[in-house]
Amino acid sequence: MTSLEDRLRDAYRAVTDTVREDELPGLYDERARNRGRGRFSAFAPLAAAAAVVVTIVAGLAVPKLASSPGRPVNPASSRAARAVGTGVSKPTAPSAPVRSAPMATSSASRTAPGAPCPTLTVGADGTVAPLFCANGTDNPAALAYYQGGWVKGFTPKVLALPAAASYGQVVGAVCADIFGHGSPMGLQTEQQAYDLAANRAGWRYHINTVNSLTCPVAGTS
Amino acid sequence: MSMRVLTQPEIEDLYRDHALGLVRFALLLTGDRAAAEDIVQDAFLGLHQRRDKVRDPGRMLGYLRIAVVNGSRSRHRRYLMARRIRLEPLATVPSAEATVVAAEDQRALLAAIDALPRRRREVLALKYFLGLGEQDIAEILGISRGTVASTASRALTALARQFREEP
Repeated sequence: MTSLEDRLRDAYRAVTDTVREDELPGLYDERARNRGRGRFSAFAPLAAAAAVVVTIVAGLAVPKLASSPGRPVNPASSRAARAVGTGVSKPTAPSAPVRSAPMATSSASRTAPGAPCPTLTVGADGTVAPLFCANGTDNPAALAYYQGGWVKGFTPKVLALPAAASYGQVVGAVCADIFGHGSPMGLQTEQQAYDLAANRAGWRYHINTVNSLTCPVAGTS
Repeated sequence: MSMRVLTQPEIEDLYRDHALGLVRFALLLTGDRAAAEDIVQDAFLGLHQRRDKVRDPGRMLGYLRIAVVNGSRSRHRRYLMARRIRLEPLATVPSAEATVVAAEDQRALLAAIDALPRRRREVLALKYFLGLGEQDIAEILGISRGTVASTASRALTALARQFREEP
């Protein structure tokens, strides 16, 4: 007959053994309450059905195109194929790489199925790498790093802008992030926040916080 | 005592070494896996934000445990662990029938623990899951050592009464 204390320990162990190390999120991963709950998850079945239709149509259309004289089909010429095949990379290595964030890889691949991102590394200056996954999307771990307030509890304003933000709004947010009272954002970290926001929103404003940023001075037009 | 800055690699080392235990501990307090993961990430985020105010790096685990307890308390919602968590079969049980009996027994015990007042549940988890002594538990919960002892005793007595056992 085991004592009540032993039974308590066994019961606790039975519960806690359900949590395994390889299932844990990385330190900089998106919060569990947000994972798998995309804003458009309700439309997932519709999107899946649409994808099936597109696949069927493409299956019918491609052989037809291929058989047309003078119109060779090159799958690698599509934008998507280029992005996946070549592995989009942007020069965003941290200036002083330290080491890999623990267990970031497994969860990063959970948040972006089919687009595994390399392990996030954090530099001594607070910058991270890689910013982008192989398919060109924002690295969820990098995004969570900046949005989650890992830079001294600060969330960059540029990451909160809508996709339709104008050049002036983006510059204003970037300048506020850098020069705002008590802001911890440096030029390098703000550049990364901008790069993530720009990639997500599709901006082509070519803002360079390190070399060519001009911020409006208060009181001037 | 002078303060020093806890480096990012040190925080990452702490996460690698202790995240699993802390998530498991948070799971016992909340009964919710996702909430437990969030609480632990929030605890490390808090540590990161205060990393330049560290007095004793050797006490970081204690700080994280306090943060997990506080994070679990602030969740407000309580979950019945026995209902929400699927119990794994024990490795040492001899037969499938015994496995089922053991799982049911544990489920009943967990349900009884879940019905205890919050502080008693915290003391039991700290004592029988983390294996901490009364002094450590007292520091984490911010109560006296005597209160820890009496709370643990009352919790065990309540459970024993329910299961008609000696505490």
